[in-house]
Amino acid sequence: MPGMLEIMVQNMVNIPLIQPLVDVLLKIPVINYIVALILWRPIFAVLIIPGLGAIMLVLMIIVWWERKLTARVQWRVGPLEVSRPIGGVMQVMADGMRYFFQEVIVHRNAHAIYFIQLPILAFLPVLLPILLIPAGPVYAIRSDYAIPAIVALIALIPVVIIAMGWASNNRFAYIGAIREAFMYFAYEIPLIFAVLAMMVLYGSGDPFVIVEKQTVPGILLNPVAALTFIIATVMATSRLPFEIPEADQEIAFGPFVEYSGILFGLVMTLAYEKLYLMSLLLTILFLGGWNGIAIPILGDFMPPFWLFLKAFVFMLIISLLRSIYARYRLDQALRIGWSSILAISIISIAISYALVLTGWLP
Amino acid sequence: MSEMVRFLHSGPLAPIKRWGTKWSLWPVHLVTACCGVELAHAYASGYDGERLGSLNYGISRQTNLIIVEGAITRKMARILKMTYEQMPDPKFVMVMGACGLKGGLFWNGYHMVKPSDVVPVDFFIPGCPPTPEAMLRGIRELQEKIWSGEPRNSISFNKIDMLRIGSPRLAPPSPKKIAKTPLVKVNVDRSEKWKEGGIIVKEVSDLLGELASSVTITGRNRICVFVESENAVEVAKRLSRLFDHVKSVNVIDVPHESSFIIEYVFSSYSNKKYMPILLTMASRIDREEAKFPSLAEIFPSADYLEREMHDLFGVWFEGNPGMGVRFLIAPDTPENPLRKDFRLEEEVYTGGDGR
Amino acid sequence: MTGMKEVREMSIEVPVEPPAEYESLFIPVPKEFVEDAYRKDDFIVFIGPQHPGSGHMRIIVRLKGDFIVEAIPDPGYVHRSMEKLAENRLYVQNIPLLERPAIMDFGNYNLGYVRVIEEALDIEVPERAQYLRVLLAELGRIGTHLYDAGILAVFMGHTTGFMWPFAVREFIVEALTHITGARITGSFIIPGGVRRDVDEKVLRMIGRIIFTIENRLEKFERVFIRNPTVVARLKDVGVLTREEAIKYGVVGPFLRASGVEYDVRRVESYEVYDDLDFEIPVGDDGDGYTRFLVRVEEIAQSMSIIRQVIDRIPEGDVISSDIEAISRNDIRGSFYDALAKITLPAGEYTTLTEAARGTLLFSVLSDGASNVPYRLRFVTPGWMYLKGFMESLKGERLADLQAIYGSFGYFPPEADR
Repeated sequence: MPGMLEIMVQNMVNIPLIQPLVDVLLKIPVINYIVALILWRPIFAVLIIPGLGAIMLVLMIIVWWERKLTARVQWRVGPLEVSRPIGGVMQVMADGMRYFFQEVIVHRNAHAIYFIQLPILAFLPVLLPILLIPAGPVYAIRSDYAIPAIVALIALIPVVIIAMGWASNNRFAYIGAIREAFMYFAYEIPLIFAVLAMMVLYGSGDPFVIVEKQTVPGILLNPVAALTFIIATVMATSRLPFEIPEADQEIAFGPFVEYSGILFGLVMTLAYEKLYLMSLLLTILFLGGWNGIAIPILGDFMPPFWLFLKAFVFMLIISLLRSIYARYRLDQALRIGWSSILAISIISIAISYALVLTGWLP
Repeated sequence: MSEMVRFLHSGPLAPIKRWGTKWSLWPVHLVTACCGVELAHAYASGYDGERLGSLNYGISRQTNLIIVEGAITRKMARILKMTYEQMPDPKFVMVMGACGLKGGLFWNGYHMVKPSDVVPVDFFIPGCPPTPEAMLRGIRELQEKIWSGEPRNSISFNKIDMLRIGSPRLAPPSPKKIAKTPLVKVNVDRSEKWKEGGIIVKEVSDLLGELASSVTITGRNRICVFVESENAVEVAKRLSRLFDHVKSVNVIDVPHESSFIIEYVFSSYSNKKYMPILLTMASRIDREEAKFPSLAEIFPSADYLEREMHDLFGVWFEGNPGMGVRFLIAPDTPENPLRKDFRLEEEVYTGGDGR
Repeated sequence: MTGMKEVREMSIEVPVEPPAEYESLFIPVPKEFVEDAYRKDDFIVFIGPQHPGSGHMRIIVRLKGDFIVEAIPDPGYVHRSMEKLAENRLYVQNIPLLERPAIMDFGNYNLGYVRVIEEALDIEVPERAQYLRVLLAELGRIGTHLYDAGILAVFMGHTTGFMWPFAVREFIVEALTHITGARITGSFIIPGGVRRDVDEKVLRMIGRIIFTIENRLEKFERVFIRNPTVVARLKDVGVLTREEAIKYGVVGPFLRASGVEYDVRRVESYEVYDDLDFEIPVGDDGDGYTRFLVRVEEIAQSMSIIRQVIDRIPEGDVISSDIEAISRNDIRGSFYDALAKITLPAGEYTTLTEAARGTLLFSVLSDGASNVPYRLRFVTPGWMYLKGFMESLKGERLADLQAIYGSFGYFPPEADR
């Protein structure tokens, strides 16, 4: 019977760049187990890319980038002094540390148990889709229904946020939770339709098939679906101009109003994590997934690299929205969601059918 | 629990905690007075407080710094205390401006509180208002204090030897002259200033007829009509044909005549002829039983002005829904602060009589 | 339709009572109001004073669903007892005191108060000083409108719209520093003129500053004023019709946005406004966007006024010969001797001034013997349009509160005094 080590080593991510190092490390006892475990494909997918490691990196960079970019647009510098030589990237760390060590207040009227556990529970719907998102040969679970499952799991996040609003037992939190619920319905249906359109186009819900068929990126095949998906992403991650559930000037961060300390640190990252997941999905559906220029030295790491890079660049671009738009009102956002976006999402399905029927795509 | 707190304060992780707190001082959005203008400048493009890791952020739960922007009133003091108590530890307070330090321009006001009486203050930033540079230097000093644990003054002043300046100029002990029995007359005739005003005065007199005791020109475009308080509603109804809004409601306390003079200043927006004219309807009422019919029904614009006067003088405007409730001032303020018998602390002038 | 069931209204009597902190929180609404709202399933929300979308005041909003049924103001958080303090200070000491309500607009506040003294004492102000006063007033007007635009932007979540006007305001502040020596609290206007003369170089610099501001505002227009989200948020929101605006005594640009052409600078002209060429922007709709656009247009008009002032300003004294000053170009050295003993003749004097946010009324009652006012009443524009502001909230959505707040540029220190 082969030992654990053999099983893992046989299915290891092969990266020529660091292969010599890995070879050395594999000869050392105990360390070899750790190295092999990390490089074992399913674990690598969950832990490094597109998993936890990538999320942490995204949180570090994207928050900093967003603040820096906004500052640049606004004729100022942005976070800098904390680490002058590297342009203040450490700002996010400092904020994180401050939140980490700050007092967590659970106020008297809150439903204490739910109030505390929900921010932690919220990580479940964030981390579960990672299992289903493949990066080329690096994947955790392969399924024909991966794409619908990812969409379904992402759709769980608003439920947690609504629960947070309820557990906070605060007026603004309550109003915020209601707004979140309204927004959820407004974007979820166009989002599902857009995904559906692409699945019709590719004839499968399996990311491998979808990426394989994208010799031409999906965004060119069905730009309408891509547009719907991007707008739905902006709505789903409550970014301006659709930053309605958390509108700080109106309802003081809505569902998160009572959270303090590390709990607020956790809930504040939710939107960014959701944005990351949606960007990965967008990359797979519309931007050709992990297809990219071959870099032999990266070996098996090349597909995750391209997948991450595309998603990351998309996130960097979408950060710009913050500095150019004001916030819509709830009813205006709902009108947009239920009329024009819904209409173009239906059109996108029609386009997909037309493409399939005319036989443009095999 | 105390062990855990001690661990956080002095354990191996304490430097990380201090570092994080130092570079992440987020002031809460609690605007208290006019220094907010310079605070906004300190965080806007010109000075960019975000460079220092200090981001102006929403509400007390998610922030760790209160910047008191100048004067704190009795009403705001309670909010300041609540905000401070809602804020998770570690938390800091900085006070901008002279008003927060010693009272500044408003040191003897009846509605003022010193922030240091309400919350523990880490740093004071003097100035009226302090410049954004001073504001940001305050943030820097607070960061230094968090890191090193010791507060430090950022400015040291040169000692000036007073003798070398020469003889100081002498000011009188108090330059104020206050008449013992002042002459309070709102309708002093100054018709020489407005020669062509006769036509409009005649119009107003015709309109009011017997109801007006006197119609006087008190300046260019200014007319004062004296009426009895029981006729006030009828006069206002008739005046509403010419004028459409109230610009000011004023009460003048005349304790030595034991009366209040109530003034309503009417003007017009819709009638071009009356646009520049301010018509003051004055009326004398008894000081002990200070009641006056409210005109808020006829002129809705007088509503809040009447409430304000009720707050400050205790005049009861019969018919206004806001009577009996404090509107502008806090419930723990002294009663009727604008009456003449409520006295403010007097300033002390030094140097005049040779000292 | 015989099978249709009869629709019955059901209600369950739930015991409700206001929270225990009701008494200690200074809540200015009666207890029955709270109980009634509970019973009718309405929602009472307190906006402010510690709320990211309110200034130094509290608005108690009663909601039915998402719609505001009633808005009750709770002002006074910045009530600094100025009217009382003014009764205890010399006339000249009141100049810095009475500009504190709106320090970014100090020119107009100084001007309003000083004109009361000048009117009472019949002081002739030299023409150069009048031009300088107009210059200060208009710089303050631009600065205040920019400030309000920034606040409006941040209330709608548009941070760039906040930063840019404040960056442009730095230019105004620079100009004011060159004239008065202070960034935003000048106290520069004194009875009989201004404190000191301004030299040619500074005036030329202000001309260049105006040119720069004009360029920057073009960018601002692209990113904020014509931004579709901004238009969507402000259009048809918080409408005050002409009749309502007159009834509630709204003032200044907010009144003009409702279609009333009333500007004190034209109606009862003071200083040299009669000689200057400017227009009064008037809107028709009376909604939030018009209120904003009127102020944007006023910035342009003010810039044109400043250009005219720089072109036409005559040479001469800046302190009136009615004032016993050593120098006619600089009050320093004779300030106390010349101004501390001012005593007005008995009677009441009232002036109207067009401050940035609207009509500013100063009324001083003097007893003829004291050198402090017997009673000083001043009504600031913020306090005058508070009623209109509250009325315009009714029937709008909760999210509109901030948009309307910003469109009025409501500044509580100014309103509360």
